[in-house]
Amino acid sequence: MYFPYFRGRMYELLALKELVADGKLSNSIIPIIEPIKLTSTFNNLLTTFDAADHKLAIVYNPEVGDLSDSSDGIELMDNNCVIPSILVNKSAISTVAALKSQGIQEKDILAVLNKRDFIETYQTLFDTDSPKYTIASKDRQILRKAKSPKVLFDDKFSKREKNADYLKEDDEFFSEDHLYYSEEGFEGFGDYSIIGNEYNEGGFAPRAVAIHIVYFAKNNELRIHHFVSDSNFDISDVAGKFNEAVLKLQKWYSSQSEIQLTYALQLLLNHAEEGTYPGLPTIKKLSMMHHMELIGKYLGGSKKG
Amino acid sequence: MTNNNRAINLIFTRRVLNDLLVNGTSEVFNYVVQRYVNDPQDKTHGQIFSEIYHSLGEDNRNEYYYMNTLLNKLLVGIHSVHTTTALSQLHIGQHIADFVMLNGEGKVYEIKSDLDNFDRLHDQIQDYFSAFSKVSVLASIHEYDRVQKLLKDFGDMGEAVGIYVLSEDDTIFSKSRSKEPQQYNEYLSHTNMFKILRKKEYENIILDHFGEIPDVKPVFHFKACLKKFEEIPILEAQNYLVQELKKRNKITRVMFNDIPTELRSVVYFSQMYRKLPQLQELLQTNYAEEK
Repeated sequence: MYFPYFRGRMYELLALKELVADGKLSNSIIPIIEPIKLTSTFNNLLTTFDAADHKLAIVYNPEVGDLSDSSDGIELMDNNCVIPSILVNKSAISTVAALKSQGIQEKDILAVLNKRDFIETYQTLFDTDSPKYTIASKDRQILRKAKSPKVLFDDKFSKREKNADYLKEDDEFFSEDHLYYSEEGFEGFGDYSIIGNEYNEGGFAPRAVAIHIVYFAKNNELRIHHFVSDSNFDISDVAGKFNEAVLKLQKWYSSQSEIQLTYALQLLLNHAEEGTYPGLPTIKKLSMMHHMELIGKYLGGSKKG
Repeated sequence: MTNNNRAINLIFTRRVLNDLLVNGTSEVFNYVVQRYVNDPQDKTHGQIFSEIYHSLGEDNRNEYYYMNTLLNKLLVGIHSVHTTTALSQLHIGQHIADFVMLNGEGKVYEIKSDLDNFDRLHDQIQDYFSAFSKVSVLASIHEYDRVQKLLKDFGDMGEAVGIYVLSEDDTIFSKSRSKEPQQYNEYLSHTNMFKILRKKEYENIILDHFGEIPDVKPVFHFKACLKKFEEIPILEAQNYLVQELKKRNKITRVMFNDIPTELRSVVYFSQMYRKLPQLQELLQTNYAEEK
């Protein structure tokens, strides 16, 4: 199983929704969403997952975004597709109590354990019943204490300060957890996809445009290639910068026979072909969809092909 | 600068006004009122803004104070708001111009309050001259000699730069103390002018001058339009730039006059005059009533 973790930004929600609606999200993928706002896009996502009978995990005590300050967490969602989830932090105990008052048991809950200081909280909460899943950060102490079934979680995306910095090392190792998680006793693996852990609100016009494409190398490890624009002197002509980046992607794709094509990658290649510019959020969305589709194909269980 | 000074610098901003209008309260506003205003509960928001502004004028003339004084002098005293537009924080090349005034021509004002430094002055001025032909420095009276000496070191370019001084009694355009800017076209650049413009604006220019917009793939649109723009003789291109930028801020004289002097530049530049009735209501409300 693969558990990608998202902060519920608009383009992330749209990516997941499109994948599920098109039957392109493998049943072996359970996205975890830490909602930042209860928007109509978020509600649509839940409806779409429900209609497709696809599981997703929703964090009830988010730490970032607009909902992070509300003391009583977000309202319980009466939806069969939702796995109620918590971050094991200082609000975990009250959040679990609130869930229990709604008839949800410890064994129904997905727990995200990423802070050493809250291992004790985790142990108190799940003393008798283990959580449905424990998302355990790659940290010796946490891994030792996490109960099965557990998920090996790590931030694999090494985020650079500026997009132009990806030019310095445009192809790098991404992950091999998918190769070993099972024999190491994990139920699954997880990461922040190509977004990374760092959360910041909004964006601003970049000097460089970067497209991050994950791919399987010959030995089946996952690598990531960064396609970055060259005219990075100022913030003008973002469409032109995108074109520079996507033409590099096109060239790379056609020179490597073993790169697996996905629906999202095809859309990016179409933009290269037609000289169109979809906008920065869509570029992120497509790169993310490509990653999900690729892992889905690897794990099998895709509903369509 | 101390923290207290910093908070007071944030008072005349879109954010504070917007918080007051939308939420009825603003953390920054409350903080500054607590520190600087006596008996605020008996005063209206308008009186409080005015009081804070005048205390800025006495011992902490920050960039807002300079900018606001300049805007009032130019748009009330010298030019009419009907024919003149002022813009602030305009990206030109690698720098951001504090204040650009547009009527028949474009004039850039670089504000150097007592709190500013002069390290980047040469590069700032050079970038401003890549789009506009007249550039001036507005400094405090204490810095007049320093500015004059610095500009001398900039050669021809420095000669062309105007100097204005914000005197102790808030005059700027005193004939005896100021030097008018001269037209200087050595650094004018089609590329830098073009990059100031928004898509709709450069399309207007290309359409106006050539009768059509280049028909290319979307990702080449910017470059194709820039190429056409470069075909326009540079002073004509500059004139198009000024005409387009003038359209960015439309305000009537009545509206402008209805804004209290102290708040004019924040309201004007953030275009909050669109909410003028609500703003006026707020200014007449007692501070205590909002609590």
